[in-house]
Amino acid sequence: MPQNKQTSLSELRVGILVVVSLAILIFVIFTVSGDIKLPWMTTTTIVRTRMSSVDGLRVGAEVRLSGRKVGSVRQILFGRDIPSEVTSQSNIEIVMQIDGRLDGRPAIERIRTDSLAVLKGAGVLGDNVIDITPGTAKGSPIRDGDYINSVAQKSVGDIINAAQTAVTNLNAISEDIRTMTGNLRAGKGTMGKFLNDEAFYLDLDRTVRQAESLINAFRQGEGTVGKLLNDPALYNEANQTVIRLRRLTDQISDQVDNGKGTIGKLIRDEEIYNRANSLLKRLDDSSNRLEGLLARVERGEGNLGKLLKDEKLYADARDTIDKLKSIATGLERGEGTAGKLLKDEKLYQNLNTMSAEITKLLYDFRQNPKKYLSVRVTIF
Amino acid sequence: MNPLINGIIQVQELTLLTGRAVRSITRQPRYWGEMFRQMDVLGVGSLAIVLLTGTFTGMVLALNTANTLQKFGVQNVTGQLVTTSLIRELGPVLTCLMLAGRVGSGIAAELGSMLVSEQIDAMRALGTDPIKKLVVPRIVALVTMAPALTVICDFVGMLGGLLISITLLHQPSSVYLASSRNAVDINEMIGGLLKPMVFGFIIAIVGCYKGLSTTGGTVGVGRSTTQSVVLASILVIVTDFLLSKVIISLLLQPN
Repeated sequence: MPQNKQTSLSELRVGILVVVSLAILIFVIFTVSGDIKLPWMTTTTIVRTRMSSVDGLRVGAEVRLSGRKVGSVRQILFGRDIPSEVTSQSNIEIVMQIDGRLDGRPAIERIRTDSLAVLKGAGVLGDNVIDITPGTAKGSPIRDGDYINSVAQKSVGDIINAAQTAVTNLNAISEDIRTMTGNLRAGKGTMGKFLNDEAFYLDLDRTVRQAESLINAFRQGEGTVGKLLNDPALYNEANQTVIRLRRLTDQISDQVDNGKGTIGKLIRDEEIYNRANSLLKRLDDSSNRLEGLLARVERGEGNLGKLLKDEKLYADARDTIDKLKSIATGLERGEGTAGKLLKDEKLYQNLNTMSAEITKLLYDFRQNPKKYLSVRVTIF
Repeated sequence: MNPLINGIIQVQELTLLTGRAVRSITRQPRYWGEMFRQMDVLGVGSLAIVLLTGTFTGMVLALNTANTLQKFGVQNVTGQLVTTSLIRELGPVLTCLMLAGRVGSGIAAELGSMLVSEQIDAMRALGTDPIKKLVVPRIVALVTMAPALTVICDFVGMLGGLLISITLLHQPSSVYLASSRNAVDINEMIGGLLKPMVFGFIIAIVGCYKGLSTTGGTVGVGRSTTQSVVLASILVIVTDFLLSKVIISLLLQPN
């Protein structure tokens, strides 16, 4: 390749073209993938928010809109004023530049005054990012430098604190369970006995076997229950009974409808009703009178009333009873004529002797009646 | 001479030579025998250094990354890391840097000495186009052989990593191989083979250009050789960066 010592610019046209085209190619390679943005290619909008803590957020961290990257954190500033007291007031200001495009439109259109900025961890070990929730129609479009509200995100420390309580509770529960299982294993309590006691199993086993044999007996039609279950005779009889009962009720209803027979007349005939009615009336009358009578008795009127109510009668009767009692006591002791009559044995012996004599006399009289019936008629 | 103008002149002449070479590929006569001879000399001849480079690169990758991965408890992905690194980056770049050193310098020296001994002028006088006879076979040889050598480099590199994983890191070979298999992806491979084609072309065209633009006798030959290696290596690395950017954007988007 021969080269001239003096080269004019016109001879370098190809070289210049290649250099320029390569430069454009490289530029396009980087801009087409969206990594390098040039100031005139994007519209950058500043959005601000305030938080109480940025939790390690750094300048240059991603700003996301519903998780999609739309910008970055430009500045993190403390508020100008010193707060008068320790509060969790939001006094750190975060300045975010939003320059991303989503689906061919500037992402800033989606951020409205009701959007919320949330501080989030990008991963377990990752840096923090700011996630902005998309605005709704309730909000108005945001202007350059506007503030949006922020939401305090629960930090890992909060979560750990909450988890600690849960773990403590779980610990207590597991302790309880351990005690319970210990008791179970030791055969304490109903459940423990249930699980561990051989006798229970044996009883259960026996019961089950008995039940099995019982069921077998049922199935084979043995005994009352077995027959009840298996013998069709009972069913047939019951069925017939039911049929007869039905026929009877049919007849009854038939007779009732026609006013025939006793039940029919009972239900249809008005005479019975009338009689019963008059009976009831009379009963009512009688009971009224009885009531009046009883009222009079209650008041102590009439003989019956006096009998029930008069104290004097009671006192007289009592007196009489007392006297009878003293008489009976006298009799018991053998006092007086009647007492001697009851108690004195002499009378009984005399009487006994007398009766024996009389018996002899009568015997004698029967043997020789003439001895006694020899009537001597004497006239003076 | 103004270095800026000098640079632009070089770019221009490189571009013109490329244009002429590309045009010559599509036209008769084609020196098939010369092409296969160059493939043999440039490609097969470079197999030894590529094997050594690949093996030791894989081994050192496994060795270095395993400790770091162990800190995160993911030593199992050593195979994936080694294989991905080799297929994406180290295989193509290292192979082509070796080729730039061994083959690019050879091309520049050969063509340079032919130029200073006026063999090229003689060739032209005899009616043979030196571009067709000398430049095109070298370009074709390198564009075809560089990807082939890269594949071999990737493979032996992976085996080197396997060797280290088994012997020094005490990993089961199945873990390493299963992890490596995860790394082999069709898009990765397309990217990994596109790069050495471009690099091979750059090495060949820079070597030929530097050789054919030699001035100043045998001293100039040495200078051309050095410049060829330096320029080819720089261009390989710069192009690698740009190509990686394009490949990642177009082929390897994570979602």
